[in-house]
Amino acid sequence: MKKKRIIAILLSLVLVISGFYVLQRLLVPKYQTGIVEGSMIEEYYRDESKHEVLFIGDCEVYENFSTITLWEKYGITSYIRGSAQQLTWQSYYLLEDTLKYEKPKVVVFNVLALKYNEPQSEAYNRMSIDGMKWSKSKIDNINASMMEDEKFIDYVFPILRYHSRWSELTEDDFEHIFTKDLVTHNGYYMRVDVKPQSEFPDPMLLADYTLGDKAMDYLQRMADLCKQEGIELVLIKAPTEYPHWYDEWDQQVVDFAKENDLEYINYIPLQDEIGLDMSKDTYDAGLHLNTSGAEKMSDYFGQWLIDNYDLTDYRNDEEYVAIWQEKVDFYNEMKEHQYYELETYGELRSYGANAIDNKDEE
Amino acid sequence: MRKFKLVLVTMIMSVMVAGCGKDEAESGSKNETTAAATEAAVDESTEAGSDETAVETSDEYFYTLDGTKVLLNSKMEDVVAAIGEPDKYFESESCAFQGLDKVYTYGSVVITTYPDNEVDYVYTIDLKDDTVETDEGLYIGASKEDVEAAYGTPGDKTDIAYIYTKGDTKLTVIFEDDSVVGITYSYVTE
Repeated sequence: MKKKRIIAILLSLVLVISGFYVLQRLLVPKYQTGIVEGSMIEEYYRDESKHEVLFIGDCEVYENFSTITLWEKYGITSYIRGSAQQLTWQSYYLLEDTLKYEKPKVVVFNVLALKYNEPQSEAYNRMSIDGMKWSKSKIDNINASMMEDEKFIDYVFPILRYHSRWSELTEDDFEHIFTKDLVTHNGYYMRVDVKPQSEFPDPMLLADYTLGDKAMDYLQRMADLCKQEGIELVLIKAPTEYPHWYDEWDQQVVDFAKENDLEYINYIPLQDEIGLDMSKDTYDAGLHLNTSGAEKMSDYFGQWLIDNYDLTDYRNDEEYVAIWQEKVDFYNEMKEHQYYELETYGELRSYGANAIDNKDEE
Repeated sequence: MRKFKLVLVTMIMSVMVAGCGKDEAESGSKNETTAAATEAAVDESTEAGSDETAVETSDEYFYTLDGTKVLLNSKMEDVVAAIGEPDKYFESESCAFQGLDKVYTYGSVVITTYPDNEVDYVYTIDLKDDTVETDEGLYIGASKEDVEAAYGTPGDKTDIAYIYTKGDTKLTVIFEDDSVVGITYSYVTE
């Protein structure tokens, strides 16, 4: 009798916990339509092949570099562990996390995030952190990133944060409760549409141009970790001009790179050399490159990579060719679909902000 | 089993109810604040018989643009309604569609906003040249002594700037060779 009671209690516990788990899965945002940036970090774990080049950073990496172009032109295997407004300490912990799975030869970090010395937004924190697998790196990342009104327990049990979504659940939430579609191409976010660059507002003068100590400390940690692991760290500033990248900030990165014996390339003055035409190569008036821009940028950067580092051309490796052919097919398929929507509707309907609006209308 | 079902439903409901209660409380509080501010603004505006859209609060900085007091953290749509459309307007989508960053240019005054729940609030007010001045008479090109005479000793300073704080607002005056080159009001969000 006592045994039966114990079994019944255990069974009840299992069922209650399973119930909570399913409910939690249902309620957390899926980031499958429109705002897909929240899916980027976790997608990495699905990619079982190794990468010789790892990009980390904000939208200036995941929108400006095509991993597929790097493969097709140079046989470079790369992955972009980017996320929206990824802060410097988040990049550091993502690097730490990635090194648990593989050891790339080159790590590329985009320096725009150095402008932020404090957490900026809970929404961006969740998009950068929730997708990480649990590890000390994730715990440290949460502790370094939380806004004042955030709680650690909400990251452990996301249902505590997202319970109120029950009234705004969409088809996506049910369809992707346990499985998700890939939304990037090894971390690259594709947009083929064009919105020419317009005039940017004059940059505001700042009271202090010193890059924050927390951001610079994590950059130093990144440099030290790469050195310790025998990885080449490359600092870049993507070629896009807005938000403004001040000369004073640039000089501090130049000095940091010199002190740490690192390469730093600011691509803003190299737009012409790269072949970028910002009347055609951007989808959001100059903030980010579109696919034609990202392909030009990647072609240029890929050449620089193979000129400067001992990277393998994996196009001669059958195993890699098979893996990457699937990626190339997916890339071309999405590209064709985006061009189809552009030709048919004059705009993208299933991607970006329009996808959110169209979902709302359904 | 019946007991288990009851437990499960109760737990789910408790999480949801607890959550809803919290959200409603937060949202209610915010709406009340917004409504109160708007109401007060309208009342004062009516009583004063002017076209002011916001209440002057002595413990915060504000800037008077074309006779309209522009408060930091006030709704930008109220400012546009009072002053009119800007000479120039720029907007940029935040990453992952977290709202639009907007820049309104009225002559030599540039106002930026920040979005919160689909409403834009005044974030910074930047004076670009000496054709405009603050309510206390400070202008681009003034000397450090002029700044101290108008605003006193700054609460905070950097190598190139004086920073004055009032409530949740800041006035930053930037110098080059002891001459003012930048004047910016900003709302302190943290």
